[in-house]
Amino acid sequence: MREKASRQIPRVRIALNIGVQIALAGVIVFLLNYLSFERFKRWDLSHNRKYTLSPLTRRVLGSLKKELKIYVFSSPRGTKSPGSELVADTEALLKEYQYAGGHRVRVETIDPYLNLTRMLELRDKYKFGAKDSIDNMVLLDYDGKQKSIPTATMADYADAEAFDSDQTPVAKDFRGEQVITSALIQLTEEKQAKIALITGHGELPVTDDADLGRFRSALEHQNIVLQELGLEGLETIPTEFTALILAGPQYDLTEPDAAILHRYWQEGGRLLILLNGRAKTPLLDNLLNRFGISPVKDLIVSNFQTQTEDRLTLDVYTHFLGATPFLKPLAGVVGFFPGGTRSIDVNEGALKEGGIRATKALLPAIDSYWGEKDDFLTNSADPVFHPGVDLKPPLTFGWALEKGAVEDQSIQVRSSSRLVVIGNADFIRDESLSRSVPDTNFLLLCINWLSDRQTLLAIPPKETPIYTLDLKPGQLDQIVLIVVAGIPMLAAVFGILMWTARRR
Amino acid sequence: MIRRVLALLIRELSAFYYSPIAYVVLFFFLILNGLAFWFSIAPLSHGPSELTVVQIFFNKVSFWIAYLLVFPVITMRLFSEEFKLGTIETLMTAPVRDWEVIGSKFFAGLLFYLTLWLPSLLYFLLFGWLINREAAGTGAQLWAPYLLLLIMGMFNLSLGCLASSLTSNQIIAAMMASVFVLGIFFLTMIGYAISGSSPMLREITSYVAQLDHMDTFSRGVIDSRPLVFYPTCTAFVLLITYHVFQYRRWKI
Repeated sequence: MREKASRQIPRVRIALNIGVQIALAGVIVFLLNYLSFERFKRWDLSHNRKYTLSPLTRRVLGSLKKELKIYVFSSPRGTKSPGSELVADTEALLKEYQYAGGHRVRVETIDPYLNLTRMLELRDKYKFGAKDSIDNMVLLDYDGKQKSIPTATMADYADAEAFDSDQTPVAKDFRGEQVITSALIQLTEEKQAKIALITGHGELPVTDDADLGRFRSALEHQNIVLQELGLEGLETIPTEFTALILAGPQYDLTEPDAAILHRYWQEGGRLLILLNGRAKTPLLDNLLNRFGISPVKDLIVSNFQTQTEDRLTLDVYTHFLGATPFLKPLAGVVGFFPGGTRSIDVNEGALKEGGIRATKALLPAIDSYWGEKDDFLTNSADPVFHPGVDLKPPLTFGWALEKGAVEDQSIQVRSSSRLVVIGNADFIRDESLSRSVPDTNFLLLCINWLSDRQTLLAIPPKETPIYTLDLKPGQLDQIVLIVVAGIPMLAAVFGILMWTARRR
Repeated sequence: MIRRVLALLIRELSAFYYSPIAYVVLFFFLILNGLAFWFSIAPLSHGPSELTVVQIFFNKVSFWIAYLLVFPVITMRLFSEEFKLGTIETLMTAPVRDWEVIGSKFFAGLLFYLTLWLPSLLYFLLFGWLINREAAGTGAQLWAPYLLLLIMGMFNLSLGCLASSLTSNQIIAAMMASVFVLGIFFLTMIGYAISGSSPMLREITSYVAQLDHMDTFSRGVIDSRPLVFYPTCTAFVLLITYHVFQYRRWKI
């Protein structure tokens, strides 16, 4: 009896010992995983760091004080609903938002076809439209404010006509981050910034969607609203506007208009002036002279070779210059300025006297451009470069000016006057912006700088690599034959050799 | 000690590679994987895609079927066979420690598992060579899924080892391993399956979801969480296997 008891005690002890060991190991594993769950790191080694969020998005997510709920309504790929081809990219992007936002960001994906109950529940809560309209949509809910974004608006498409045909539309650039972060800024910012588009001199009209629709929409995504403003009868520029845009006037300013703009500049105003290369505007040129800017009476042209002849072009391919601090994100990127571009010089003496700091923003990308001073558009003569008369490269046609800036960047006082002058206005038309995506970013960077929102650097779209198989006849069969039969047969041959060797 | 572990490892590897069964498994597994690769590239010939071949391959159902099937097959005999044939007694009378036995069996299984997967690298290289197009956008988009495949495989193999150590019947061991591996795989999807589930449940399931991890790694994004989760859980399951193994020894 005593012997039996003495044999049982070690077993119980051992069992207890093992139990404690396993429990302790379990606790250690749990703690390690808890730490890993709370403090993790992600390394984006993908093409173009496609899944890395911009500093702006991180800052916006970091500044959230309340929970942000993101609902992704996505129908499966192949359903032919607009945006279904972006579902994978959108979900991957929002995953990054969730990770960057920590516990303050909650993302839920709902397939309206599979999860009808949840979709109806959310539809009742957020009062959005019929089921068809929520195929591929992202809904943001922050502090009781909501914003819905159709997924199809998150990309630039290589061929927009594909939407109307049976083809699957191909996304060229994915700008989901730009769109979602902008929507988030709209939800979190107290009020919208207003920018005035000056009218009355034949400028590009904001109401015409065919011309400035893309520009206006890009601004709206940055929580900026564009409004027309006539200068006639005004004493001062209303303070509600954070900046003014003069976009390609066909006719010259009047004396009072020039005076009000000069006064606006002197009092810390912010101006974006886009010159109309084909218009004669001496009063506007004079106004710019007073700022230290000298628009040249020329048009930037270049000859390019086709297979049969040399042709003249007014379209200017340009480099954005990183020397202008707010343009650093676009340094070296090529932009497109079509239609007619004037080169712009500066008057160093006037700049120095006025305490104005000027930096170059735009320079033609190649040296074959010159500044043609002949009025060849009127007299129909073919322009030829005349040394000593026409301007030779390098030709600058974009400048950023600041007067009265506080050197210490950490001091956020709106005390300086800022001006961006560009010798071209046609590049902000829809036709041009759809052709050159960097131009939209350039505009946003300019506007954000003028509006004192330089922290809100524009988020460049991510290039979406497209993979297709351009197979020669029989190539797919060849691959299938090798992977389904050839490689397994190799394993079988090894097996047979091994078996034979063992039998010997 | 290293010599003992090496000797045990060679013994285990010999049991794998000198047996024709290994090659039969390899043969059928490669057919399955080859078909999975075919299914991955076929959609690309119908139209453009934003996903790379590697991304499509590692996120297709056909890949997951092959992946999940393999663990019971590799691990079912590791311990059960020794218990069934009684060779465990011979092994235990040898001057080796229990953890050395567990470790050598686990690593032998892992090496065989890698042998099964390595030929799939050839598919991508072959694809690049024949089509003159990279199968992945970057190098990382190719090696990252294999890194994940390694650590996920370690965890699932440890579950298989545990199942095999619990019984002397290989079929029961295979069945148990399937339940462990598939059970954990499907449990991790519960957060997505339950409509309107709590954010915490979603976060936890996302932390352990193999599908999510593979989606992330195949995009070329390396996440530190799976790199902690799988090795720690592998070590924990192997510790339990070690104790189960010792318990069964006492019973002999």
